[in-house]
Amino acid sequence: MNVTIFPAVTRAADGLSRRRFTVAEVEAMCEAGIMDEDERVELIGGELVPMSAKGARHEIVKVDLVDRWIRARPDDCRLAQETTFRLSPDTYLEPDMVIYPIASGLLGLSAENVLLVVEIADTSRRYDMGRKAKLYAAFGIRELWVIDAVKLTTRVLRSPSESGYLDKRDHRASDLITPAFASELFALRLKDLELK
Amino acid sequence: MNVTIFPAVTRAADGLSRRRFTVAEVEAMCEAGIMDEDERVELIGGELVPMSPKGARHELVKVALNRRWILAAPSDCGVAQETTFHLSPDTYLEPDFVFYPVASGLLALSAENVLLVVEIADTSRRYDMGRKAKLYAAFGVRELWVIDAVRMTARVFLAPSPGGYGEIRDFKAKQSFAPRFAPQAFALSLAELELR
Repeated sequence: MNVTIFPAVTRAADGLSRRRFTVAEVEAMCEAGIMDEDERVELIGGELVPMSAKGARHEIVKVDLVDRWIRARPDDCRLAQETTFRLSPDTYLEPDMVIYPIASGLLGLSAENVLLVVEIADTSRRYDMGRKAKLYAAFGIRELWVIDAVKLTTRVLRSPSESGYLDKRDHRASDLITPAFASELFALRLKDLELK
Repeated sequence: MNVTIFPAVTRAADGLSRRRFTVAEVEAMCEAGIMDEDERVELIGGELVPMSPKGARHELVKVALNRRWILAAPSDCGVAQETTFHLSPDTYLEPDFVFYPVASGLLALSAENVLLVVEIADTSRRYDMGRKAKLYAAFGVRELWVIDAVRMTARVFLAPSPGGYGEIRDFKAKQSFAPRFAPQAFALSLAELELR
């Protein structure tokens, strides 16, 4: 059997101006069946950027962390996994976790009211700590944690500005990390995760 | 009244891998009304690249050439203006003119059987003579003319290879040049065109 897999990604028009897509247009593409709703893409400034494949370490850390944080049962905030986080008419991202106030609810999730965004990085480490962190900062996300699933280190980014986060702190697996805005019940030592 | 024009183009994801669209997907977007069928875009390696607006000189030269070539066309050679030229499953371009054998017909137009492609450039001169010419060469289009509508010069490209055209010749307004594969009736010098 001769199966041709059509390449899913391209950089053919690097350096040229490309057509900008809106969130609404991408939603319409899913409705029309042109794109699969499960296609793992983010819309960055009007461009569809496929997300990198999730490695095994990524998944192990994710599962453990979610388990831990759901059991923490804070009464004023909730956790959503891999939700479509609409940041502007031409940008949406799918962070691994967002923590938001129950008062505004998931449907009211915005850059202004989100309490904490967590990205778990393995192969995507450089991207998540660099370009993606800048994007979150530009939209005014107050606190971002990038967890390196391989090294079990965490970079905590706060004080967003147009050009990036002004406050960056690196933590080892044995350090206790406490969120500045979300419930203290989410305080975490990565080495406490069971990872199995 | 406060009208917000949403920017039509973006380079937000320059340097990142972007989702590749197929010609079939773009056609489906037009059918679903997500894109306007009259939207002036080309699909280059899976990316939608808006075309630069056509200047007044571009249009003057186009009208004159169209009249000149339609009146000269022998019955076995077709001339199509701004047609969607499908080159691969992820690439289509809209050259100003294509010449093709009537025997194979417009619907069967391909990089292999097209006799001559003509691009008229004004603001897009550098792009048409550089990156776009390379693209035509990579697809094996045998002959390309890029006509500079401002300086009234022509560049003839022959001998395509994956790295570009092997034979490139420049002609001034008063010099006449003739196609190598299309009928000789299309030979011209740009000075003879009546621009009005």
